[in-house]
Amino acid sequence: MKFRLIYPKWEKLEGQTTFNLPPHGPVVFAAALPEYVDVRFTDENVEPVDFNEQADFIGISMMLSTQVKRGWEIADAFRKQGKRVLFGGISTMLHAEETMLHADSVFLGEAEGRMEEVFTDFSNNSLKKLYNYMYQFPDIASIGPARRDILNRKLYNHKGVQMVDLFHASRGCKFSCYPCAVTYLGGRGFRPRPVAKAIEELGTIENNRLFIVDNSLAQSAKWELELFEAMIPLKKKWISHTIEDNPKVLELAAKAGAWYVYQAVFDTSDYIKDRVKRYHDYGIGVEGTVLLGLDNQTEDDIKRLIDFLLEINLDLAEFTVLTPFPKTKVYDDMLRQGRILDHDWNNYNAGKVVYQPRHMSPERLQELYDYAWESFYRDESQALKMFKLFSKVMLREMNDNTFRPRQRELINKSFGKEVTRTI
Amino acid sequence: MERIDTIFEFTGSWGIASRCGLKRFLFNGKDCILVSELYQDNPGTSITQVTTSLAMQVCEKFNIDPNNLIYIEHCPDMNSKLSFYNEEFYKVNFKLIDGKFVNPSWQMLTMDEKLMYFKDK
Repeated sequence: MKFRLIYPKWEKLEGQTTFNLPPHGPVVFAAALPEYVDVRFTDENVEPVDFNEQADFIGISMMLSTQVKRGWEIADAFRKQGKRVLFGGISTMLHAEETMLHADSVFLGEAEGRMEEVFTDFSNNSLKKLYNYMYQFPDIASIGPARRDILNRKLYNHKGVQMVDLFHASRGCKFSCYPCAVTYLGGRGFRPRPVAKAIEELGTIENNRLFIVDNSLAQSAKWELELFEAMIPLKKKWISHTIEDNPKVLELAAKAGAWYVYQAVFDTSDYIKDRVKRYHDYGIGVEGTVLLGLDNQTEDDIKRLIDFLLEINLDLAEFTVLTPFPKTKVYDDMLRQGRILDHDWNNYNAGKVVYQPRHMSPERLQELYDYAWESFYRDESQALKMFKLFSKVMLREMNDNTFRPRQRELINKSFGKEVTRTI
Repeated sequence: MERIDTIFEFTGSWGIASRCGLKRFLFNGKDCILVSELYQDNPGTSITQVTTSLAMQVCEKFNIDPNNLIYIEHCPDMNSKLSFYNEEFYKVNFKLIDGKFVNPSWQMLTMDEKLMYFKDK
């Protein structure tokens, strides 16, 4: 059975460095497919979709709200040809009702252990409109290595430098943060993979640089210590979201290869200042993630926050606009208060203002978002700051003999396209 | 009419088992239902995600005439430093078409309205 799995493209945010990372959802999903399924993968962000596809069955995997409308277009085009289309992924779950209008089948939930049913139904011409496995989580120990072999690795390479591979060591989240849909998607609980299984998968990843995409590693210090201890011999270098603010955990994370973390910066407190310093004390870089437009932020608060970021020596910062994604408390609040101005999912990219802020106009918040990016990177560009962070990991790799020089044969290509090098 | 103050188990989005606080009392001859979000104690979907469905589930469970309903959503104070977890009350207005609630619209209760509805409750 030929199954074409497609990852729709989305418009990248203006003014920011564009990198295409190998998507994680599709490779995890592919690992759940029955062995007899011949899966081929197209990431539309790096190569075009072939609408003359000879596949028997089309799958569309969507992560972002900004992918959904393109996903629906792709599905409509294939369905006009008589092909059947199955949707899955994070934003399928967030936009399920609308997605069903463009689908032969929608899968909600986690795919492990469920795909035999779906593909058997397809083969018997009895594909269901909906496979609802919401909150029926598979045994976390049953999650095996993702199918990274479906990726065309040359397309995730920038001038000879391979992009990080993505990996997850846990699912769900015990926190329930205001703007986040994770508890709707993965349940209000932390589900760590057994460390042995996580290490088994890490051992299969050829790339020495990774992005551990867990919602937050800081959910169990005991598990973190066990995981990091086991990771040390693998000598991977990795990025992640927050790590437990505990000296023992941070020390072990650094030994295990922690390169830098995404850390939410939500105020100008000494706590945040010290948190960043503590990461730095252990040689771990920090990319501050800064949410603009919360109801407790005035224009002065935002400007003060930007100044603060420059004082605390953040390695990088990523600014986003508060966005009322479906199934979040933000969405509920904004809906009740009649403050959602735009329901075009293409604009739900965390870079456009789609709601009425509390203390300013939408236009002014949009201006402050642009101001934040310009101000933080005024004296040193994002590319230069990233290069500095990148240099640190290269030095570490040279020290432990894991450094790999860039691939010379790809030096004139960026994500599959020819580029002119200036240096 | 029986006054009720209970935890109500309801069916959330896609059949997810969910839970909310529920109070029922009379107001000017109408059945007044107050549903409260339980946040961390709600394992499923929020009361606002399934407003129309939840309202109908409540009517069916307690034999309430949908035409005689005042429906209020309550977001309790979370004792948080963040202003978006302050206590709020919203009266939800619906249309009733073919026996189903549709087109919800929310109206935040003023202080006077809160006193009017909840005095002595």
